[in-house]
Amino acid sequence: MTTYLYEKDLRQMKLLILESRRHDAVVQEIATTLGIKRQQLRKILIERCDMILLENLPARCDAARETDDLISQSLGIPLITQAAELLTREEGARIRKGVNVQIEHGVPRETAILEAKTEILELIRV
Amino acid sequence: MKKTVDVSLPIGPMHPLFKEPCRIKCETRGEFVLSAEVELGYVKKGIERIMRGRPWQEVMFLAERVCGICSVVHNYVFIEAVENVSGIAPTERAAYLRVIVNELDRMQSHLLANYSYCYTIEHETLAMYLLNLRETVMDQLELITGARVTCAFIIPGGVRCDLSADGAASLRTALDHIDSELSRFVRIFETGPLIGLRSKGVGLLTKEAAIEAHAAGPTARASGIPDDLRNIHPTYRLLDFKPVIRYEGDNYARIMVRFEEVFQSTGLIRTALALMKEGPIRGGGTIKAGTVRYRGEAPRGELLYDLTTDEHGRILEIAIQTPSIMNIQVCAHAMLKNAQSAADITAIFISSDPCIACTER
Repeated sequence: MTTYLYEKDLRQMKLLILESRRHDAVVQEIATTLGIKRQQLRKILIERCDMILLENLPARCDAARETDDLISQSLGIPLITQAAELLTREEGARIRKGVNVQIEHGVPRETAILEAKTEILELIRV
Repeated sequence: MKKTVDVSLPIGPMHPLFKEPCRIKCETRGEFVLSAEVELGYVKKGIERIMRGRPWQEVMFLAERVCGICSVVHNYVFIEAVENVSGIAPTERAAYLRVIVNELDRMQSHLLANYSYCYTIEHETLAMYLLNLRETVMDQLELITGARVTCAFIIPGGVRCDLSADGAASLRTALDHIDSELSRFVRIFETGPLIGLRSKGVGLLTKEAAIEAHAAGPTARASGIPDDLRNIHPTYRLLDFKPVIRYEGDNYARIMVRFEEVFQSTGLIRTALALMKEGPIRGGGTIKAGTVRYRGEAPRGELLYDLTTDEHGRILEIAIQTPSIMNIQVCAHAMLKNAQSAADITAIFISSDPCIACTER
């Protein structure tokens, strides 16, 4: 979005939102799933999301958790695509499909998931 | 968000149509709205931090100051949350009195929201009629609780004051007046050609987008989501409560859901008055240590209190999730996105009944 010289730097206020109790819990959950530090995820969220999306993050995560696909859950795809909107749904589906293909070709499940997590991190890093 | 076009349309923080300050930044191509984001932080209260470490008797008063419009429901949900922790149940008469006051609060909130919408689309006559009718509701709220806004009516185990026979008669007369007047106003809204042009098919919210953003209250119910927490509330179940649902998902549906819910509220109050028997209004009880995540249905939707108390009744941790957070977010990212005219931005925003005081709790 256009940034004017007279507009405020919102990073500090966005950080305050993410430091609240419920936000901190979901940030920790996504960071643990992706295997990165909480601070790194906070930086990504601050850069990519507006204030109201950050405020609504816990409620969106509650809505996104309602999936029974175990691979999507272990990759945190619903949280990243549906809740935090860091990736599009198409990108999420593509990564999920890639894991399936690798498992079908005999790659161990853990290795396939680890590779998918690396790909997700490459895509969401600012 | 990344910049995609040159035309950026900032609305607010001070805008004649906004009751409270917030900034909507829209990217437009001609009249077409490509995207919108919301900037907050103009009226941040930090009320959760003020509440932390204080006894429940103080937090009770702070809770109803989260919102200046739906203060009763904050009092209601906070007290039910601490009752839940402590195993306290209200007396039967108090439970019905709580419903009566809560529904009056919902009625005045919905009438104010619809007033704001009519004022935004420049139907000032209907707007003023609705604001005048809201005063009837506010008078009844004051008659029962002793205050118009910060009533502090609900306390653990009961309510603060009883409703006399004269008070009940006055309430019944007021409900009849509201029903007959509101029927007239709803007819004006339904048949107004200008209103139809500004409202039907404008600000569409699909059921999928509403579910994804966890949209709540009339905003969600106007998009076909049947969620209403009154469905699972023990007192409302005795009143045979059924949520109001519409499927159009536009501005018109959101306003009509609120109108229909006002009629529903008058019905619920009448049933509560009929079922309410004489008896004590205070049961007493002691607040105990524990943690609870308690949800209640505010006029704008799901209100959540996530709190931890200690054995002295102090609130150690508290997080409040208000429905406006979800509704403003879904409004900015789903309803405003792809709006056909920049002139509709304010109408779409107001139709979601945004409360900045709740959002910036």
